[in-house]
Amino acid sequence: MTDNNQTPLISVRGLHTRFGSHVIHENLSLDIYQGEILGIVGGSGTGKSVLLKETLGLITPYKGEITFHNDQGQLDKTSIGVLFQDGALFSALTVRQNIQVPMREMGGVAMDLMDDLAALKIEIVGLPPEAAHKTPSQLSGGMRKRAGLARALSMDPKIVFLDEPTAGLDPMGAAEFDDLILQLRNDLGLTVVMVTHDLDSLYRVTDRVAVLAENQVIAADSVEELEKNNHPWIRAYFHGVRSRQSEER
Amino acid sequence: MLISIEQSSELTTLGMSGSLSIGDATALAKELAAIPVKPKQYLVIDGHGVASIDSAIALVLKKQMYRWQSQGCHVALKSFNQQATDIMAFVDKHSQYRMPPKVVRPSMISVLEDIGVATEKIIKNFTHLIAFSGLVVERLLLALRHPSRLRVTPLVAQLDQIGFRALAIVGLITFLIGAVIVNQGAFYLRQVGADVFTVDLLSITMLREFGILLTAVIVAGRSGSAFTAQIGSMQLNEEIDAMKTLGMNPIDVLVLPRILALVLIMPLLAFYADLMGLLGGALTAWVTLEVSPVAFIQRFEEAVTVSSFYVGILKAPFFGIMIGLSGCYEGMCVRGSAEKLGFHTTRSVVQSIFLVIVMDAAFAMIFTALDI
Repeated sequence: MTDNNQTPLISVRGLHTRFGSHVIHENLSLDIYQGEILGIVGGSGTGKSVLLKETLGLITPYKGEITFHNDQGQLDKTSIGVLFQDGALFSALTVRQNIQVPMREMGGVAMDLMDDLAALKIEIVGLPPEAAHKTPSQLSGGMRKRAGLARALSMDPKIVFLDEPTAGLDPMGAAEFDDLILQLRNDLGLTVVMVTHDLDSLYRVTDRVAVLAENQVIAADSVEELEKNNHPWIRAYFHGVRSRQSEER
Repeated sequence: MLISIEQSSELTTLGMSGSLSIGDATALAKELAAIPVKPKQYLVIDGHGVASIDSAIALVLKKQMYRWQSQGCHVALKSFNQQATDIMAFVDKHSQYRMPPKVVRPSMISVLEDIGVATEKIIKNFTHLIAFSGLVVERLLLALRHPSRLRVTPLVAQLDQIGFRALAIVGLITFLIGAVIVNQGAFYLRQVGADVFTVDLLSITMLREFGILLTAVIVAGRSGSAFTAQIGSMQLNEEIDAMKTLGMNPIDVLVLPRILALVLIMPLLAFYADLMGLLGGALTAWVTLEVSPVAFIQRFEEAVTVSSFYVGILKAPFFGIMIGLSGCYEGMCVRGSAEKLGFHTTRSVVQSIFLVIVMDAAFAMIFTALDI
């Protein structure tokens, strides 16, 4: 999918992160390319979500550079969409209102057009139309994730960040969600960055996987290449009992 | 203008250009709708100057095209680039949905309906509260038969939290209110030459009503809300369900210690509130009215009997039960989201203060009837 001569969309260079004396990242570098689905894996506490939040500007790194290769040269809120772990939908608003939040913030969009757009996004993510007038607490976990994705897509972002998109979904729901991500990438040319623990999902959808260990990205390659990698953690991750089961499936 | 219009004899060409996104969509929709068309007319939308569009623009274009087609026009797209064509195809594929309309009722009926629904909710809420009280009494009786099952540690923790840690705020507020009663009372009573009755005013109102009522309001705001928040967040975190599966009864573990603590501590807090209120009044009387502490105490002994004190203190445990019941009950009612937690916390405070005041009025009627 990607060839490395291409200029990256986002490049992370020499990133250092520490909380107090606890070092999370040390001289970490990573490139994210246009149109790819990049998975980020790593053990607990290796700073996957922290890396995601630093890229989004929610946490300021101790040192290092995160460059967006767009016209502004920096993060532009309308060109990114984020799906947080449990959707992070605004609980006081209905799904329709949640999707319309960024449009209202921007202003100048007619009410009927916002309704049409919300209906469109709801259909894109595969929610039933009745979900529009429900509040997040009336939705199941899987539907909340879909609604969260619909909100993330509300302004037609170029890059979508997903924090454990299939966590807490049953295998069928997870597979459907994977298909949805693939389909959106193919139809809309989205760039997708996903933190995940789900091996099935890694094998199904990702073009490349960045492995976080030893405070760095120790490898960023396709799953097939990573399987051949001899690093002990990568070997354990891709050749463990659970992964073998997942391949047999 | 986002669109340039070129009109020839049979063909209207609409030109668009640049990078168009959601911010232009509303204006574009208006401009497109304003273009005059006749049936059977040929329209071409020329997109050779368009760099990129987003789904909002695609949606607007598609909708307008269908509208023209339904008026009998022939519409075609020309020279759009790959990105624009793709996104229009994508939107076309996914625009089966219409926002389901919200049911709008005539306003008069809907007001009546709202009143009905709200009334039903209030009645239900109170019947559930009564049922909950029954449950608590049942568990209390069981616990009294096996006193070893009473949970002492949480009880002591609650006594500390509700009682000891509230001393500062209860003391301060009653002290100030005592001072205010004397100050205001003296001002008006002096006009009729009855300023000596200021002490009577202070001691009777403080002992019978204000001491306990102020304590109850502070405890409801301070501890009743805390009960709801604590139990409610445990409810959200499924801790209550976990308790049940581990064979613990949440009423025994969470509710009884809190209500018992309130029953035990409220009379003590009310006594302390009486003292601080009288102290505040006495000091003010000394400073502003030059009534010496000795004179104050003499007048105080003439003004009140011990029954005034008992009337106030007797109400304390009942107010405590009310606050505890509604705080714990509302906590148990929390379901779903953090927003509900806030809703129930508010309701618990409002409800317990309301119940306390209703009960105070009932006590007042009883005491009047009994001539105490």
